[in-house]
Amino acid sequence: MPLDDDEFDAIFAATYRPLLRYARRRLESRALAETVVSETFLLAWTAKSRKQEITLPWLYRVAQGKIQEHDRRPDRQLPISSGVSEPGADQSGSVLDRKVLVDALVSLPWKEREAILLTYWEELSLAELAVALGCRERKAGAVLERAKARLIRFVGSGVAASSVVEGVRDVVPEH
Amino acid sequence: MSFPSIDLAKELARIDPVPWDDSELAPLTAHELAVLASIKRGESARPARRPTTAPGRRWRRFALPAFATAAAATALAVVLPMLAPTAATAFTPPPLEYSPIEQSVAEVIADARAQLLASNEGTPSRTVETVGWYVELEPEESDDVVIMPQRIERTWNEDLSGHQIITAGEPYWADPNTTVPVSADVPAEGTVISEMEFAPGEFFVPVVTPPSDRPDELRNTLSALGIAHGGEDAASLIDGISSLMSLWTLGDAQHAALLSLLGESAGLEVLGETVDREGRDAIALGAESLDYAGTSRTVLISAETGRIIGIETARITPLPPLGAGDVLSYTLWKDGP
Repeated sequence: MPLDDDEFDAIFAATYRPLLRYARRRLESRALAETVVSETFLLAWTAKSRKQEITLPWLYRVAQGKIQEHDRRPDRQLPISSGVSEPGADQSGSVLDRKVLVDALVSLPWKEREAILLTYWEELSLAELAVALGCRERKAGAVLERAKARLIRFVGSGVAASSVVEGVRDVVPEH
Repeated sequence: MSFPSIDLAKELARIDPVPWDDSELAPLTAHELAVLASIKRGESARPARRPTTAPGRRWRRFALPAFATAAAATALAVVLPMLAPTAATAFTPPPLEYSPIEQSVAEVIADARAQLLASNEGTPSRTVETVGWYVELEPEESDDVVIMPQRIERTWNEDLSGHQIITAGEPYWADPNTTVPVSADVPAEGTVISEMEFAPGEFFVPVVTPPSDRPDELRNTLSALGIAHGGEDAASLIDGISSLMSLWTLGDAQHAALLSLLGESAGLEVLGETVDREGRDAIALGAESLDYAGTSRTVLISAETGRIIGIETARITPLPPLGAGDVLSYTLWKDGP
């Protein structure tokens, strides 16, 4: 059944900020992120009359397309990429250097990176991830697992490249 | 080789550039309510004006796809003042050169319409090919800048499914006097930059019916695409035409109707004859934007067919590091249905 205006308002109120956060996590410019979100809701507004179920994972899926339309940078780095400067262990108690992790994340194929970020930043369940990626749940699970394995492998390579010896304890800063 | 066993949730949270905070629980702000209202009017809202990137970001790039030229131009307006001025660096392609002509706007449009209505080829198609470029600024670098056009091939269907592929066009130096080869780390022509499939319903198009060849009906279509001021001023009309042509390859009759609308619009002037960036003879008409102060729009009309084959945006006033006359974006279409 098509949504009425009040129902759309409620969906907008519940999803606008998470969707904007999603876009800002992937775009350098907040203005461009706002444009992406606005166009995503425009599509949702059009789609509501076609009985499209408007959920946050579906909105993420639409926003992915909008980001690809707008963000034509060949490398399409994440905003975090440019914020990471010099390698070196931080003081957060983490086992990983930020730069190693960011480099590994950016090295992932786009879909796998999205699977990781949607799971850990947007905190989607596997069923929601499938909606956001536009595939079946089983495939979403496979993409996510492959992404995690590849990320850890990249991290391992990065750690090695940083001349840090293997193993978790070796990269934990001394306290 | 063994790898660290890491807590991905914890590690990724640590590098989250926009973490959740309590303020998200607050009621919608006035700006957010305005966004909602504009969406329900069928318009894409303009971004709130605020400072954007933190210092030290290496790249500040703003795509100006035909889809959202106006919105992205706002992003430019927001950010460019934050860039440090640099002297004599070519950031943008050389401006087109114009030879004066004696014709008025009305005469240029009448001649082009006559060509179009005589040939009257083609009908609207949902497959579009464009070659375009948008401003990229690398403020930390003082060397010359490579212009990297992109070729977009977009096909969509009535059920709003579709496919889009973006490939690298032929790169060239912003400064035409530079003779050394373009660096190898620039994507070669033909390199696939992105490819996207849209499932039914996912390709955003407010109006799916083919554009009419009647100017009044075309104006309604342009309004649905978010044209400002009802398209009464030439620059906003050109922005609307850019959006429309990002979705449709139009027939000659539709081009003739668009030219009629341009002829009725305010603020259009003849810039002269030119050769566009694909080497095609064209007549250029230009207008100053009312929405984006200090910028202009130029529409290129094919001398051969009368079709609209290009649209460019440029600075009229300096906005460091860009100077007056610097090109902000261009989009070129093929000269035929």
